[in-house]
Amino acid sequence: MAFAHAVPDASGSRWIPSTCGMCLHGCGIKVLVRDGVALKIEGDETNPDNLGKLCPKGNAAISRLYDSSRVLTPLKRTNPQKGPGVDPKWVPISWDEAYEMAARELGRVRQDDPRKLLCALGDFQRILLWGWPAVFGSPNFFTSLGNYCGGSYHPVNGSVDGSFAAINDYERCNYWIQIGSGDGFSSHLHLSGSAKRMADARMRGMRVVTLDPRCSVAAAKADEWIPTLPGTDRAFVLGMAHVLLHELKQYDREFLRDKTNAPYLVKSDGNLLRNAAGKAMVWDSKQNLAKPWDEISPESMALEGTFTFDGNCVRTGFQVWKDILADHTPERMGEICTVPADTIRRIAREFVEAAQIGSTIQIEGKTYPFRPAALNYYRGSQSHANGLFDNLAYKMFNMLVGNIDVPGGHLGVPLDHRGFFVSPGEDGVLKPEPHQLHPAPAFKYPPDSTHLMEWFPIGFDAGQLNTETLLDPQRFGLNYQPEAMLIYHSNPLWNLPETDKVEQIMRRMKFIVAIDIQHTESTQWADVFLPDRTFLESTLLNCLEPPVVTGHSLRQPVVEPLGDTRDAYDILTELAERLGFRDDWNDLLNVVCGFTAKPQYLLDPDRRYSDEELWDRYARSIYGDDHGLDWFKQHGHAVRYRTPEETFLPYGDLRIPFYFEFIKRTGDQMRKNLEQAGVPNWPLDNYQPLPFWKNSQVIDDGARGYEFYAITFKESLHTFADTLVMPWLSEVSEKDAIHGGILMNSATAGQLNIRTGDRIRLSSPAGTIEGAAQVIEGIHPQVFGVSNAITRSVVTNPRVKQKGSHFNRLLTGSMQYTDSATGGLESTARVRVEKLS
Amino acid sequence: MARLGMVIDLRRCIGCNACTLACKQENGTPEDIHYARVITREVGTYPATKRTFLPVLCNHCEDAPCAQACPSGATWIREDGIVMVDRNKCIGCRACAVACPYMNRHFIERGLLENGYSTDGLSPYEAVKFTEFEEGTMTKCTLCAHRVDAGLQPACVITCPTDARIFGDWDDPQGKLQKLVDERGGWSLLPECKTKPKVYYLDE
Amino acid sequence: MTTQSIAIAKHRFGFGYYRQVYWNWLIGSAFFLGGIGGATFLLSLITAFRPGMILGYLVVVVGKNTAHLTFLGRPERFWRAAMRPDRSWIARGIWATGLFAVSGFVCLLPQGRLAGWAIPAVILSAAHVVAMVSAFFIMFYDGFVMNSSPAIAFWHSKMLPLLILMYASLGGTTISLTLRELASNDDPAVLSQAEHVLLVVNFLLLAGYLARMSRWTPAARETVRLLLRGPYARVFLGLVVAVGLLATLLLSIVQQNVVGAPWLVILIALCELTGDFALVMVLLKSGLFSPQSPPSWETTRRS
Ligand SMILES: Nc1nc2c(c(=O)[nH]1)N[C@H]1C(S)=C(S)[C@@H](COP(=O)(O)OP(=O)(O)OC[C@H]3O[C@@H](n4cnc5c(=O)[nH]c(N)nc54)[C@H](O)[C@@H]3O)O[C@H]1N2
Ligand SMILES: Nc1nc2c(c(=O)[nH]1)N[C@H]1C(S)=C(S)[C@@H](COP(=O)(O)OP(=O)(O)OC[C@H]3O[C@@H](n4cnc5c(=O)[nH]c(N)nc54)[C@H](O)[C@@H]3O)O[C@H]1N2
Ligand code: SF4
Ligand code: SF4
Ligand code: SF4
Ligand code: SF4
Ligand code: SF4
Ligand SMILES: [Mo]
Repeated sequence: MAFAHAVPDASGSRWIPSTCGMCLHGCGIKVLVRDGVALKIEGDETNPDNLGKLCPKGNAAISRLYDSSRVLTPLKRTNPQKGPGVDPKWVPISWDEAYEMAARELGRVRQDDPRKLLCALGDFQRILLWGWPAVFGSPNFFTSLGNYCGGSYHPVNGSVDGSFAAINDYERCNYWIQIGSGDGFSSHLHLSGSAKRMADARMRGMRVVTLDPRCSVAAAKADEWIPTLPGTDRAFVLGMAHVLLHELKQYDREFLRDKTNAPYLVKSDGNLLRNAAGKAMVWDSKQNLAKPWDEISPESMALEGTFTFDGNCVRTGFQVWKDILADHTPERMGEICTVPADTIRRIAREFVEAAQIGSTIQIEGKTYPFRPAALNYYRGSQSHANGLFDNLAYKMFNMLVGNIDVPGGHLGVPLDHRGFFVSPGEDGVLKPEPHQLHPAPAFKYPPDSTHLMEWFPIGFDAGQLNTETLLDPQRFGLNYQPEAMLIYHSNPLWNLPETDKVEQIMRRMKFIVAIDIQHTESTQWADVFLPDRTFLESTLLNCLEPPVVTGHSLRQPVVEPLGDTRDAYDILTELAERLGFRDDWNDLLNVVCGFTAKPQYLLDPDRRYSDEELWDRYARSIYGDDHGLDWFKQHGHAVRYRTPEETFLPYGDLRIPFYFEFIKRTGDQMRKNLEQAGVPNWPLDNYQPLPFWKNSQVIDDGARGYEFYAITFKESLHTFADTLVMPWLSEVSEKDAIHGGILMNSATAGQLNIRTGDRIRLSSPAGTIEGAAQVIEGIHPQVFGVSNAITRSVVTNPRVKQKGSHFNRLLTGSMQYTDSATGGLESTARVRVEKLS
Repeated sequence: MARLGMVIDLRRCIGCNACTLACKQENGTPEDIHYARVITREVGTYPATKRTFLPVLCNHCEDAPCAQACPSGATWIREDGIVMVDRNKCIGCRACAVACPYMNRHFIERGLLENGYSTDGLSPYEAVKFTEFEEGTMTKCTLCAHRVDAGLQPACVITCPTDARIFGDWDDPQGKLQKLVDERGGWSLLPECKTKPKVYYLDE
Repeated sequence: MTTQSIAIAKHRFGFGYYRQVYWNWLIGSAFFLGGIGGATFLLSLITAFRPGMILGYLVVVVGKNTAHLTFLGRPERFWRAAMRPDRSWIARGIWATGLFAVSGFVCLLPQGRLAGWAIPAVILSAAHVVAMVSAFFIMFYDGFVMNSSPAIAFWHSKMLPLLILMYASLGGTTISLTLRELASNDDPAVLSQAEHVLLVVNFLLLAGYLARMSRWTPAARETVRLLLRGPYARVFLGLVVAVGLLATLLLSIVQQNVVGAPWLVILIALCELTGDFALVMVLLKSGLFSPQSPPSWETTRRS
């Protein structure tokens, strides 16, 4: 399938296939170029990922390429003073001088103690480069990044079916519950194509029920919007689980018995009952005795029940959760999430009826279970201090109807083309893969990393903890002080909680090097600025979290790079070379690119490879030698739909966890490790095998006089606050009330005598923000909403209007507001409100 | 004879403004000029409230008041019904803007073309695109006539992530437009203005 | 769902009434000057009052046209505005103004001679007729220009040209009256009676217009609200009604019956013309485009 447009037409213009880089996802695009000028970007209709569609950001990419805010030459700071609003007094320098400065300063640090480098890397599309700090010798991750969203999400997906993310089956689902997520409407996975699939699904009659404190687009377009209090959605879902288990008694017994470890017996200490050989035991209900899980016919395996074994009381994992949920009545749960009990009951009933438990479907000659009802969720619903429980509850609610990775149901989305990470673990259960971005860190005391990654064996990189550890290092036994920082495609000052503390830490840095395309709040602190190329000027093979497709899409330069910029890969490689670890860098790339498994593609440690060489090898290593970069330049992509085999039942004959014993065991091990190390007061209470309701710190803050909640959100016009600096986009978003200021409910506004435009102040235990009130109907009366894209403090284009309310100042970056098992951060805050004028 | 137009399915539309930006980059319009827009509104009171989205563009009215009002003949109507402005004839009197009930006429003020969106003059892209405009004249959505003439669909249509915008010919007996309107019931904006729009909407 | 009132949208992405922002004070001035200039000329022509004819002529040919030209985005192409008299009232207006410029000029020639050439009588009388008709046309065609837009309900009424015509007449009468009083002091009673009648008639017309509009479309109703209670109430009630009509009437009664000072004459003229101009401006500015909404949004009250 040749790319028809790659040929020049009569006017000398031609369409060049490439990949969008305006957000992390990477839709297929084609770019019209004439006389070296990019004139139009359209979706590549040959790419099944986005089907020729582009979201508004993709449509605005040309304005980023030619944005006058871009930095087009290496810069050196001449003002030794640093701080917010302080002009760095940049002067242009040569690449050679820039590299030399960076290499000298970083070399000094590396020689002294490489851990003294803090790294803020955020380029998801060039995720293969994320190992650079590790080769340098630093484990430190100084950014909230994926933890603000996926801190608890990715580990649970990885543990359930080896996926990285998840989505419901657009094609076949009939009843879609959406919690705290913009999938198919405004954000998350590959918006352009997902919006099409979601619209088609709704048109064929799929029902959508959306839980969100705010009338998001997903809520506005849903058949039913259920406003919840932030951080309490789990209560709603646990209440529904109660209804299924205790009231309706409808759930997919067969799935739970045959496809999960729900029937495995659990002792009163919470560990699985194992025989002498270490085999997990189940109950034979025919013979009334415990047997190893693999020595019994499925029909006689008990799913529910409490039994006596060796004089001890044992219960199936299923029974344990059922017992836990006995008091999680819709009444009690409804009070927590502010939803009437009847609504919880009704949705639970509608859901389980729509799930058609027991039905099957034929796809391409194969029979699969058919469960056309599923619950989808993302950042808003689970980026909370009890995020692990949130994720477990949502996944397990899906499991109750047996919809995991079956047609119509809740489908795992692999990290990339490699598909699900499936391998056998213990007891016939799939091996949990909570870490997919880097190997699980081993426990260490004193810790090496400033964000304590060694203390989160099943968690993510808890970047927000940097503020707590670095400002109070003794408490954590941290025995060195970082001195330098590498910022690359990330804005830690803007994405981390507690902006003031982040500044304090940045102030301590003796040297900061930034690789970016434009000035940001963070790069303003840099000593050297190394300008990267935009996605329209660089090369890359991209595949990231595509919900229904697989395969790579090529990013290639469509115009001559503007100014004197270099590709980030080249920059990092040059730095590695000058710092003397190019060989290790190549070795690392060999591992992450998968060349070690195909030795003919191994990079020679003694050679330097250009970006094109690297991606050419990468392409050939995956698609064969006739599919190198040249092939991709012609064809644009090798993206295709995932086959049913690749999509459904990826776990095959393996069971998936229902009773998450490994989480409990990890916690137990952590307890021992910490005791041995003598670390006092480290919370471990979230290492639980099953989810239940418990309050988080945020909820308890209500008792401290913080009456309201504050939340943040994304919408289709912007990628974080980054694209706010693009006038094409901000010109439109500033006209939407949703980005108009601090959102609040009209009834609340009435009580507080606040009107749209009035200046108000929100104060949380961590900090305060001020801004103009935007009074709306579509938000929970107890909630204030602040769009992700409303304020930036470093903006060079006067057309971009500032609203002055940076949400993250309200968040706290401490363990109290962190999920103790995953490191996931709490992304809502309790606030007080004051009217200022 | 063709009568080109559009049907916009509000049930599909998610108010994403991809159409707004696709139009912007297709036509390279100067600052704050958007032929395609999404009118956004909240209806109802909490919790029975909805955000509603109404994507708009020129209706290419059959009885186009803008053309009626144009004293110079700069506003003209193509055979296929597309309402055009000939910028070389336009005198910038803005009578058409006052006459269009739908706010779909856009005047290019003096000085507007001197700077693009940058802080340092025109970008290479704008340098190309701005040659299509002239200060002191009126501009508007052309239903992407240049694309239509090349056999393509309008830019806002092809990009629309939900396929909410459907382009076609009202006179085509096999066409989708009339069929959709017949099936789902369609309406146009401000019928009281008797403009006979060729853009129709399907209910949410 | 309760009803929500509709506000004025701040931009074209917002829902609500949209303000008319295209025609500004230059167009207002042109309309105003055309009205009073045409009327002054016409009245003076009928009453053979040369200074009035000259002034009226200049107000139209210089004043009105300059305002128009200055407003145009492409003034150098102004002639194109005459291209479509078949459908555009502006084009018709251009023709009228052009004819007026020529015929009026002929009427103004001293003894009907141009550079020593005696213009034949037929031409002279033809010029008179043409000047009269075109001046009359110039007095009110703006009303049709505005009225022809279906977009702005407040303008889209058959009454508008009449209102404009009557205001032009009033303005022309005021100017003629003032000129006469200042210049020759010969004051035809019929003129000042006409002035009084016109003031009363215009008041009634205005009241009738608003009454009609408040039962017209929601957008028209909203404009009435803007005029009577909204941001334009000060200009409308203060300048148009209080100063332009009531004060003018009162002062001219005083002027005729108590004191007859020249300053008062000027004051009256100022009052009336202020009201006249304010009316044109307020008509332009308070014009609203209707909200664009699907029928399903109609749970809302269009206030
Ligand atoms: N357009 C766009 N797309 C993006 C991105 C972007 O910046 N812009 N970023 C990408 C990235 S990195 C991520 S992580 C994903 C995020 O994708 P999403 O998770 O879809 O995005 P968010 O808007 O962060 O959160 C979703 C919703 O959660 C709601 N919310 C907040 N708190 C709560 C709560 O406590 N409970 C419930 N039920 N809802 C809550 C918000 O109002 C919001 O509507 O999107 C990716 N895609
Ligand atoms: N208030 C609030 N804060 C949030 C969120 C929220 O919803 N609300 N979302 C959170 C989430 S989920 C995430 S993942 C994080 C993301 O946080 P960040 O990773 O900081 O995301 P961006 O703002 O996209 O920062 C990336 C920076 O990369 C730069 N950049 C853009 N393109 C390029 C390029 O081609 N090359 C290089 N070198 N640099 C480039 C831009 O200048 C931008 O500032 O934010 C989190 N922070
Ligand atoms: S969803 Fe992301 S990758 Fe796709 S067009 Fe939008 S910005 Fe580009
Ligand atoms: S692009 Fe389509 S879905 Fe998005 S706002 Fe426009 S019409 Fe609606
Ligand atoms: S929508 Fe407006 S600009 Fe378009 S044809 Fe109708 S009246 Fe003219
Ligand atoms: S502005 Fe131009 S297009 Fe509009 S009416 Fe005047 S001459 Fe015609
Ligand atoms: S048809 Fe073309 S010009 Fe008109 S709104 Fe759509 S993209 Fe813009
Ligand atoms: Mo994220």
